[in-house]
This record gives sequence, C-alpha cells and structure tokens, in this order.
Amino acid sequence: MSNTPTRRTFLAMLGCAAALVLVPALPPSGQAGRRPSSAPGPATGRPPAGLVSVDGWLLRSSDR
Amino acid sequence: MRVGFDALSDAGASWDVCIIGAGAAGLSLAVRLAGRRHRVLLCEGGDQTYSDRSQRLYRGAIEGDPYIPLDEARLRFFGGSTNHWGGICRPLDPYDFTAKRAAPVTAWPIDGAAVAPYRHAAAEILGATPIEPDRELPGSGLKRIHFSLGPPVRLAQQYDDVVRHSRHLHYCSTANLFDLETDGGRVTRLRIRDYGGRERSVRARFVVLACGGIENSRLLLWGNRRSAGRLVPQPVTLGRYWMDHPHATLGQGVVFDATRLGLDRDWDVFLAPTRRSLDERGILNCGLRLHRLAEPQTEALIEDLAAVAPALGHRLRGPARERACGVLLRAAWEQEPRADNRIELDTATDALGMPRARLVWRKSPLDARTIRRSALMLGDYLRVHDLGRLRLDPWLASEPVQFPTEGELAGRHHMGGTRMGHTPEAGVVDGDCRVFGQANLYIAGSSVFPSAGHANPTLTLVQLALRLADHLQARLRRGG
Repeated sequence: MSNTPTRRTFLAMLGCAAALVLVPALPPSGQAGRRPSSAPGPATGRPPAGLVSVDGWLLRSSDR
Repeated sequence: MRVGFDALSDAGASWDVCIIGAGAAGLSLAVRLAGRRHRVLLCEGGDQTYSDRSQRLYRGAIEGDPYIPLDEARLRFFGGSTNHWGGICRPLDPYDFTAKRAAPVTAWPIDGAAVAPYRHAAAEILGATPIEPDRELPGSGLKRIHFSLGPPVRLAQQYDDVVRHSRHLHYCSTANLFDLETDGGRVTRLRIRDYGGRERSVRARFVVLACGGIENSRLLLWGNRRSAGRLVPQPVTLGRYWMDHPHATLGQGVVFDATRLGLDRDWDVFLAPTRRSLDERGILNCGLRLHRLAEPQTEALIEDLAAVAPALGHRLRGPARERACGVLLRAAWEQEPRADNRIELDTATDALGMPRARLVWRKSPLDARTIRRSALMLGDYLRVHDLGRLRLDPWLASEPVQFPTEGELAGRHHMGGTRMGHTPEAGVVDGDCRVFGQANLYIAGSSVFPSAGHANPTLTLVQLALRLADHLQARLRRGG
C-alpha cells in the first residue's frame, strides 16, 4: 500500500504528521453496452460454472 | 554531535563506520552502533530541512512504463523519505524470502528467521503498533491481513537530540559522497563534496551506503566506472532487478453484509492470497484493500449493479440493503524481479558532476497475471459465497490487462538494484549485505531486496539495518 503522498502534497503539509488516505472518486456510472461475457476462473482461465461477467461485474448467472 | 564540513578529514582520525545517508536505514544503523560506543560518522548529502539544491540532485530520466518523477518519489535531507512517508508497516511474509513457483528468482539468500529477531526493535523505531496475525478465509484462497497504519514517525525529529548530543555519533550534513576509492579488496577512502565545490576525504574501517533504492545503485555504478570495475568486480546484477510495488484501483463492489468482512469495524480491510494460492495460480504476492464507501456511493453502486443484475438488485432494495456497503478495491502487489528493470547512469550530470540516474522500468506479463488473478480470486469468493459482487475496472476486466497510465501507479517503494545473492553472479551483496569483492563495504536499505513481497518495505529495511549493526559490531570486536 502506498504510504507516501506526492512531493507536492508533502510540501503543502510540511510538518503535519497525518497519514493521508488517497481515495479516488468513483467513475461515473454508465448503463450502455451491457454484453455478458464469460468470467475466467483464477487458476484455469475458464469460467467457473454458474458465474458470468457483465460490464466488469462478476456475477452469478442467477443474479440476472 | 554535529560536525561541519570543514571538520571532515582523513588525517589522523579513522572512523569505525562511515554511513552515507541519514534516512530510515542509515539513521537506524548509526544510532544503534553509536549506542554501542562505536565511532560513527554519518554523512547526509542534503541539508537539515528540505532544499531545492539537494532535491534537484534526485532528478533523473525514466524509460518504460509511466512512473513518478524521480525527484518527487523520495526526499533528500535529514531523515530522508521518512519525512513524507505514511507510516504503514507490515513485515514480509515468511514465504516472501523463498523461491516462488511463478518466479524462483524471488528467493533471498537468507530466510525470514534471519530478520525476525529485529522486528520488535524495528517496530519500536518506526512507532509501529502490534499487528494481528493473518487469518485464512475458508474457501477463498485468501487471508485477512493487517498493517500498522501509522501515524508516521518522523525520524529527523525522533533522532534530533541523539544526533546533537551523542559522543560517538558524528553527523555532517551537506556532505555528498562523490567517489569511493578501493585498493581492489577494500574501500580505502571516500571523497565527499559540498555544494560549494569543496572536497574532503574520509577513511573508515567500514563503509555503509544507505542512500535509498536508487542512489545506492547510482553510487556503485559511478564508483565502478571511475575505478575501472575494481569496486564491483562482477557487476552482473548491479543496478538490475529494480522493483516497486505497482499500485492501482481495481474496481468497486457491493458487500452484502459489512460485518462478515469486518467492514463494520474498519474502513479498510486488507486481504492477500495464501502461499498455496500463489503456487496454484502461478502468481506473486498481492495486497488487496477493500475501502468502505459512504452511503451515496453505495447507493450509486447498487443502482449500477441492479441495472445488470435485476434479481439481485431487487433483493438489495429490500431488508438486505441495511447491511450492505459499497467498497473501493485497490491493490499493491509484488513485482516480478527482472534484470531488465534497472538503474543506469544517464548521460546528463548533476550539479556535483555525477551522472544522473536513469530508471528503466516496465511491468511484465507476470505482473499482469498477478493482479488479475488476485482480483478474480476475491471476486469469485464474494459471489460463490454470496457475500457480495465486484465490478472490475475496464483495464482489468478483460485480457490482456491494460495497465493504467495515470493515477498512483506505484508505491514509491524503491527496491533492488543492489540485490542480495548467494554469489557475485546472483547479487551485488551477500547475505550480510556486504558488497562482493570489497571486505569493508556494505549496503543498507531496500536496494538489497532480491524480491519485494507486497508489504511496505520500511519495516523490513530497518530490520535489516539493525541486523547489519550486529554484524558490524561483531566484526569490529574481532578487529575488522
């Protein structure tokens, strides 16, 4: 886990001992182009049974 | 005590140990040795506080994947990069010292037991809190892990009094190492320059370079060039096997019951593959971080999820909604140690006349496999056990992985370049951190790491520095 803010941040906060937790904002939510694709299993590259991937969401088939 | 640049001399006085660099490694080592009444000279190239003239010496070129500018990724003054670190600590996993199936080059010549005795003392120096033991999550291939999360200790402040008042520790700032002279088997003299172009010589029984994960390589490369290869006679790995921890946001998700993963107690939950998972999946180590999101973001995520999974969305709009929370998934993972990733001497020189550093750094197919399979392991665990659903960001959602080119990119954890090895062909230093070919030259810091695990390196490098203190003390007692 990164534990060093940028130098710019450092310069702005010189003397401050607070650790920063940098959390980027969520990307805008989109609803277009939802095509299911197989979700590769971690070890084999094949999708585990009953699991699918839709727009990056790792789902169960029954979720849909 | 502090000494001025003019007090440096090779006439008469010979130090037990001269340490170059007053960052986490150099300060820990210097204070430990001086506390045992050894005569220590600690040379810091920077000033007492930040200065542009010092920081500019860290500028360098970058080739390969996008990376943080070299003069922004570290700090060059008393206390070194501990002046801006975040205080996150965790020891390496014991198996990080071993040859991993995916890349046997990860093996260290020492095992975890060699540094374990120094963990408590290192944690005390760094203000690290006790860390709960890891706990496997059944059926996941993952384990829940913990970090000490700060607040960060500023070593410059912590050791200011010691440096001022110690009778055995002599500290000189604006003392930049420019050259190491060798008779072919021992470093005989150090040439030190200040910013005004003045030069002084120093002799010491033992010399330790503790200048960070880029400068240690740069100084040895430069010294080797000037000595026509007499400083590091077999520079096979010198500057090479350089590593950082790649960092990235992997995606978001919805956890159905925050209490099941501990997200009701903590805003951040950390997970990592088990050793068995690494072997089975052919990957390296990886730290996954689930960061709990606030309600509006959770609501937006559930809305997104419902759009692709209506049945699940319906369920999450019922009584289950109360227990659910959104999460942001981030990771820092172990980079494959590769000879091609390296520190070189650039053609441009700095204000002191030394070639600048040039970093060549690229992520590998194994780096891509490690992060994708680790993310899928978590995603599968959540959906198979119906604990939640993850949405991977587009760069990671399909193969080949397209790494982000902006954002955090890496942890600024500079490791390798003077890696530890069993032989001069396999490393620059031996298991005691001594440079092969030089009887009295040592390296302190994460540049000696042959592999990186996924944990922040500071605790481990301080453990190694304290271990080096014991080694040097034993040699000093034996008469060098």
